[in-house]
Amino acid sequence: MRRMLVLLVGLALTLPVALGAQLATDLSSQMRNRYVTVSAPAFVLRNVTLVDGLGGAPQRGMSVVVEEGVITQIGTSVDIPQDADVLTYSGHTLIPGLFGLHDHMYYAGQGRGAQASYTGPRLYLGAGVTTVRTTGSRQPYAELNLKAEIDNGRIPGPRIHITAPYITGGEGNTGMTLLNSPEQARRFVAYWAEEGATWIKAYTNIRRAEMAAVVDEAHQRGMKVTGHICSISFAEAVDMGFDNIEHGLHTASDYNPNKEPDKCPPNNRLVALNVDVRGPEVEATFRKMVDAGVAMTSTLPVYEMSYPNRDVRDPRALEAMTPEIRDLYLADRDRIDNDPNALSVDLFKNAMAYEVRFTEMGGILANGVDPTGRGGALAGYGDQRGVELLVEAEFTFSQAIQIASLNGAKILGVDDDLGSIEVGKVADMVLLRGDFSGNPSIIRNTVTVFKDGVGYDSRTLLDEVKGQVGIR
Amino acid sequence: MSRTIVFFAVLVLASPALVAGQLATELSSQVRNRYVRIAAPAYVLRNVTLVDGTGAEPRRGVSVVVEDGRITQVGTNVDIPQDADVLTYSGHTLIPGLVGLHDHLFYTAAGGRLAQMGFTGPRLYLGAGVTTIRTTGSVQPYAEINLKADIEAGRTPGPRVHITAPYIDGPGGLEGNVQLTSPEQARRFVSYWGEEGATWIKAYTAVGRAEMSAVIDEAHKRGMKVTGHICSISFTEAVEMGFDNVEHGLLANTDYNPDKQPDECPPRNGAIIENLDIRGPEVEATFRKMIDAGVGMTSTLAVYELFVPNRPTKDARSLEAMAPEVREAYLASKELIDSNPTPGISQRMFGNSMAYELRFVEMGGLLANGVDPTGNGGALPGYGDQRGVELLMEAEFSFPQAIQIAALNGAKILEVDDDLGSIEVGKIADMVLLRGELTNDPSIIRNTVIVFKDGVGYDSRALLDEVKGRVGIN
Repeated sequence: MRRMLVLLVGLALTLPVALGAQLATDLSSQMRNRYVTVSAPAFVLRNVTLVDGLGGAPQRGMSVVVEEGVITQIGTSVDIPQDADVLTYSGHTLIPGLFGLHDHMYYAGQGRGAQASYTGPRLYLGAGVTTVRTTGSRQPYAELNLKAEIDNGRIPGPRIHITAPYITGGEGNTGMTLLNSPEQARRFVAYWAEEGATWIKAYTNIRRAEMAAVVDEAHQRGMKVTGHICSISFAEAVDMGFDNIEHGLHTASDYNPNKEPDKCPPNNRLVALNVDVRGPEVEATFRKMVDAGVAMTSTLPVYEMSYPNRDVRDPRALEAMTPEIRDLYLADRDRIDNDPNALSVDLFKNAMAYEVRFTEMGGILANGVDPTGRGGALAGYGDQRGVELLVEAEFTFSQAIQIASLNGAKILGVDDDLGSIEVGKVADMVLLRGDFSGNPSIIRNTVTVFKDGVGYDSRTLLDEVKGQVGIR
Repeated sequence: MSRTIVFFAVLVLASPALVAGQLATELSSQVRNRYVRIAAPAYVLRNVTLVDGTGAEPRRGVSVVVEDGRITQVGTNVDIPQDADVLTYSGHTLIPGLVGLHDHLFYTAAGGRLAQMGFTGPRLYLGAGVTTIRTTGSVQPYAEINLKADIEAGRTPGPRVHITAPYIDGPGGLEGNVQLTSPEQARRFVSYWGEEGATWIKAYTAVGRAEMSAVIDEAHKRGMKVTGHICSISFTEAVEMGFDNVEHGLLANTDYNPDKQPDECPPRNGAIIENLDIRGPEVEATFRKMIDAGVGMTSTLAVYELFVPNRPTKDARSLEAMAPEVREAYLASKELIDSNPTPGISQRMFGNSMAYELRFVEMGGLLANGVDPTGNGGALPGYGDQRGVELLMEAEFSFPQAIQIAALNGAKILEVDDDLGSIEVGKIADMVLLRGELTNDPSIIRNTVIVFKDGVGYDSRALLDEVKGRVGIN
């Protein structure tokens, strides 16, 4: 055993100090006993098909060595550390832990809504999403408390990047913060920054005056800004200093001739149907975004539900929903499937093409579920669906994994330590049953989800939420 | 008609500018068309039985004159203003609009559900006669600030809303509550929510004294007030610290628990509560302290009743208002409670809790009413406030006293009693017209016909019908 080389390599790649590793011994005994199936401080996963998050072709027959929560070796041949567990996983695929960049800790669907402090973390982690950005909240303190509970090893769940409550403009009986002055906007950002938010999420009716104050205050405090925008176009957002934009073509008001300043034009979707994603207007949008380093978050799963005859009756999701929501959702599906005036799937395909074009031009695209809308795209399961839809959009599986992991890590500024399976990075990984051979639905076959090299049992986590989505 | 006397009376009683009137013309046409039955700027309600909220005995054959949202005459003989509508309501009782001091805009139900009540909350409260609420804690704070704005803009029907900041708690506290871990964070919290429009702070059971002191200091500096569902802090400690109000009464007071450690919330001790001598020196000391400091107490008998076995907590209207899954979960929960030989709250505990409130008032304490639409969800906004009135009568308060508790006393604690809380000349016409005159039958409180806010008469049935099947959803 060339232990010297291993030692050198281990030393050279400094352990990331910023992230406190949460090893099995840092978890409560209840957590350990209930959810953890791999707790050895050192182990080797042998003979897996590796899709490492860097976008290249899958590599077969790979071994990955993890020590103290960090990936220390990757190769067809590795030196097995003394006292390491050796777990041979032939017929399995290993991917990085997914990054969900539109992964709320609340659920909404079919007119119902619930804070998802129980189901959310279990679905996300169980489905392989090891890092989420909450991208807007309704019960802000519940989410801060949840993050603390997870970080303290008392509740199983993903790493959480806290976004402040939604901000928007205007008036109305909404749960979002209505910003009516730049002064109020700054006070909002200052307060939530102190409480631990690292991102601000703007919504469709925000006005430019308040938004400018938000961006200024946020950036002064080292926070970043994204938005589900409409009253602000993508181009305006870039000019204003946004760091990220959500949802893509379904929400871009740039191509709408009826767009007036500070106003969200109606019928944006109809315009989107006819946008030429290879045309000069879109090229201009993307040139602007790419030059400014503004990323885009794909949330195809939430939009998919608006289209007829789509594969959106995931039995796992239906079983996780509380019965009344399931019934409402299925009735909604039937209605959409049988509606002669349903949205044309060409719009969905155009939205996909928009995202492909963005990455072609050098843009950073990330993935998220957005567990709202019609309510059938759940935390975690919906992130997986996002990977499948990215493949339908004609990204390769490896590219889809890169989008759903490393790109998200880049946007969140943690890609030094996370987002891909590389020596020196933290061992956030997902073990899938099956050797990837072309079918992206392998993403659903989660067996073990590693966070800091601790292996959580996917099935245990996912089973616990049955019938609870929409309640808690 | 002695118009001179009327004119003089109106002049003498200056209209306070602070509470803005919302006359019918200031409501959106949608609200007006859908909910308003009486929009006349001047009218007389004739021949009602009046329970005016001051604690005075009911008076029969009374007429009440309302002009531009204010009560201008009350008496058996009134001068009818020119152009005033005259509405004879024989066989009806008029009480002040209720003031609910523990009236959340979110709801919890059995099985772990929690729903923000942006739709059902305001309609249930107003429709059931609650014209003013204090939210007394929130988990979706911006939703409540926005709802208040919507109501005040006339876009949504609903009560006057006194915004309480999100719950403050200590480490390990409830999931949706802010867990204060330093006085500095506490001050920042109070400062921020004060700027956002909160006028009250609500502490919860695990809050630490260091943080609480900082909260009270910062709150009082800003003209805000402080209440709490406390436990880690006893009622006596709360008074010493400067609380303005305490919630729930005996079932939340850890003063009588000898195992109580500082900053710790001991489990509820049923035996202590059952056996506490309400007329004894310990209780007297608590109340003397509270009364001397002017600290009011909020009664929430309706939510505690839910946990007592074999109580009449299957109110048909509430069951119908619940979403089916909520109703199912509630009924299953009630069955478990009814069949539990060792219930969380025994009838004796409940009874002693009632006696505690009676004693407090006897000694001169200010008792207010609220529902607290949480627990297993059987006490709804509005309906639960009404149940509170019935339970106060079971506690042996008279109907006029129960109305005083549920209206004027709440107004006093909220410091709006110059304008609200009772039916007196010069005050704002927030009133509830009830069908029936039998004021010794507590259930008269359920017979809401018209609810007046700023003298605008809202149709109770129109408001209440709209929530059917929606409580627990939104």
